[in-house]
Amino acid sequence: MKANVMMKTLSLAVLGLAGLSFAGASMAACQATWGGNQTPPGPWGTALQTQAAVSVTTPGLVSTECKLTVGLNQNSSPSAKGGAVDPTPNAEQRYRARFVTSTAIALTQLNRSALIFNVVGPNAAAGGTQNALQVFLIGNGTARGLRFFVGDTVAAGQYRQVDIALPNQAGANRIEIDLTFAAGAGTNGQLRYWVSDAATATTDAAPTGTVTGLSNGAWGGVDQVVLGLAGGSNAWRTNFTATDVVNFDEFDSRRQSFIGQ
Amino acid sequence: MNFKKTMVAVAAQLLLVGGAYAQTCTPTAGVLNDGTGTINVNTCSSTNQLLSACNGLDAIGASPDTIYSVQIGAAATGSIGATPTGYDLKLALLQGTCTAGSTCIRDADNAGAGGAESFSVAGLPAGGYFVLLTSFGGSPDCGATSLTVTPLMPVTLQNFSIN
Repeated sequence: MKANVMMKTLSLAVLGLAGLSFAGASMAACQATWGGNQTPPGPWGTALQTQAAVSVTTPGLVSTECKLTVGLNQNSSPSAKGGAVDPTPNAEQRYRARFVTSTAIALTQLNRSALIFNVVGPNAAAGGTQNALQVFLIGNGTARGLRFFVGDTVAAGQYRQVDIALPNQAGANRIEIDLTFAAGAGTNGQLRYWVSDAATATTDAAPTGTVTGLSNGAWGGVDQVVLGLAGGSNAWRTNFTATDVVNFDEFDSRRQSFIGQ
Repeated sequence: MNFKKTMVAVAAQLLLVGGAYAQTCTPTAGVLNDGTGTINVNTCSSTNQLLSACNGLDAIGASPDTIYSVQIGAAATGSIGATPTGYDLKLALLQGTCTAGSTCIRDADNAGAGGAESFSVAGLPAGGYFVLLTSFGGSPDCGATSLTVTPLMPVTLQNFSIN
């Protein structure tokens, strides 16, 4: 495995340029349509759209041209989802990723949550799923926040949980993760995470938090990730409409090096 | 410790250290093709194969998973649909391999309990796929189901003879 090899840079602006011919004479070079479950332009693998409104809109979140905008249909089923799959990771034993997200949804209630980033391994823990790490957008009772579920076969329910409020409640937040897998049944797996205002610089040496001692070798690494909106709780799908959207931009993933701003 | 006890101990240790349990599935329900027409199946007779599906995004839990394989030809225009009795069906078409991480290139889960679900196969790349009939749990999460394959033309020519 080569060090410092960038697996994929997925700024939505790249998608926009690829979709220029579909944008017609509109003001932006963003792809006009997303196209459910088809191969999107640019480096993404598959575009997901089930009972959701998915579009590429302008401007982007961080002085970029375009962003991905997703909203789940009101009263949709638990299958509702919109986003994109990156299938290029290949049992990566260390996986770093970064994206920027924002939402204007009045998201405070505890029972309203949706999955925004799913990291899937080639294997599953015994009696569990292949999801090695999941990041949910949640209401924490008073504000918008994130909930990380990171795989650990020793933990109750095979996951350890971290909750953190979004530092920029009304604007763009940058989320970066550095996930390391333990070998076999080892317990030296680790998750480092950075959650910051998108305008604030971060450094490799100062993550927002670290979860150590993970027994996560059973997942076998990272084989694919999904960025978007899925797994909405019943309260989310009941109370929010397709115009209650979450935005995504500036996705990048690597094996070794810090990504940052 | 006799041999059997030794093997049990080894197996227990393997469980404790955690082996590699890929969330793979097998099309134990059989094969669908243009000649399938309408068939009736009770999905409660199937076992639970996947805890999640569709890139790991859909937490289908312990619901029984009825899985068929199907070969879709180039420029196919048909559809696959199913009508459940008394439960909320999720009908999906898995692309490539049959695992929890497979992309559901078609994903029908619009109706509630007892509602029919269907999807078109038009526009799909030719190749092998898996049809998944399952549910997100609840009670019941399975039952009698009518599955219909509208011909997936063009049909692959298996054989030709002028005898």
